[in-house]
Amino acid sequence: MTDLSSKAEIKLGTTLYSLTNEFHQLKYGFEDLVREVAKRGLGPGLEIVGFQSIRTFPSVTDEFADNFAALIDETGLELSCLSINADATINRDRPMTMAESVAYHEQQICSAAKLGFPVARFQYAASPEVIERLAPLAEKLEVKLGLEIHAPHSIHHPDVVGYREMYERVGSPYLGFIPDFGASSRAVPKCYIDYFKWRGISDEMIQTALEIWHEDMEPFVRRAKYLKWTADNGKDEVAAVEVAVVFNLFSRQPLENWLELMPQTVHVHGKFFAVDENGEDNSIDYASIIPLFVCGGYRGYISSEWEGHQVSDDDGFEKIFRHHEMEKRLLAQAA
Amino acid sequence: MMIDKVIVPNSLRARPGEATIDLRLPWYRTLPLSTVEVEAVKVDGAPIDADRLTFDLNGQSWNVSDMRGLTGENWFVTDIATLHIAGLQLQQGTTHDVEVLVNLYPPYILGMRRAVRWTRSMEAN
Repeated sequence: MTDLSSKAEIKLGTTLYSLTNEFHQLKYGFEDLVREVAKRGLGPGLEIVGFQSIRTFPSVTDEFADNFAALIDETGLELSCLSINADATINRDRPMTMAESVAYHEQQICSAAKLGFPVARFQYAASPEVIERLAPLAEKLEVKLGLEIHAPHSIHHPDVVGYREMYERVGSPYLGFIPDFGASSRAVPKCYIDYFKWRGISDEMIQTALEIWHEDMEPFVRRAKYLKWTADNGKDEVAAVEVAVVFNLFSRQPLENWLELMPQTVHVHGKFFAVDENGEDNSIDYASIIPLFVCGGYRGYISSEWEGHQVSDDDGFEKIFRHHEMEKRLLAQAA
Repeated sequence: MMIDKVIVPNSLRARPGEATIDLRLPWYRTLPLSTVEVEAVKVDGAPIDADRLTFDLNGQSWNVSDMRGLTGENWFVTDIATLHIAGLQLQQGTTHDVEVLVNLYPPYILGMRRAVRWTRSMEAN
């Protein structure tokens, strides 16, 4: 592996997705959430999810944009990424047509530009054909479009390969990738196992899910295999669907896979679940990932993305702080 | 977490000819109502037929069976919806177990369903 460490410039940051509970539970409004991120030194990068933070999204009013600009100016945070969504199945009876999806994405990319975000995170459900049609707009507005590679996708999955091939053909620097570290996990996070137990789900249902999660098979097949087992064995269907999220939220692939996409990596989702007293996350091997990204010459932000808010009411700010401390330590060691 | 927030605490109300509860969207982002399904409601273990359930949001009301077509109606993540249970006459001050099963079909994850089932014991006020 060529050592491109001298090229690496990695900045930390936060996605407000990590603070979903604080927002959802009405503890902080949007602006106060941003101020608190800055106050606690959890920038400099700031990422937001359009459909979470902005009531009028995919549109953004002039008033919102002006207030947001003033807020960023006030806090000194640096805009890293706007997470946009594909939403192909708003109509559950038929997916969006290509024209509808292009228009839907156009609105969101324009909003990203209006707000000053240099990168927009998009999702695989958009399709390479749609994103190809958006490349000229991305270039015109100077907003890079990053495909988030999220569990259970790997870089070799046909869905991702379709984008890789299109990117190669189109050759635009405004088309790239956003690795989500949850797609290169090493274990199901303990907080999810604890949650399932708290929900009263049997050890048998949990253990079977974990066994299937660790089996060598196509990741997308795992969920179906588990749900078939639960159905064949008369398990509660709602509980089965709850446990089955483990197949969509975290999956395994060699960490080295990220190196193949490094030249086109425009942003990173530093997914994590809990940094323990030893400075490690049991489910994501940060001690290996951070040096890999340094060696790979990554230049950009890593948004701390705490997803444990789905299964706990722990303090999101504290989680992110510990994550940043771990990342700073690992970056210093890799330097 | 969200599962235990789906039924707003202390939101059970006894009104003439109906009872109501308040609901929160058990998701991290706004979703169109076409992707939200109130599959089942039980009060004290007794299932309530869907034709008795009306969902209020954004100043409008729909029967829960009609929500699948609401592609243009968004549930903003911090907003409260009200569920009306027609024909359920409760006495104020009495305590009841209210169970809901809400399914979410996030429109950006093909084939995904999140099932949120929760029971809250509340005093009718």
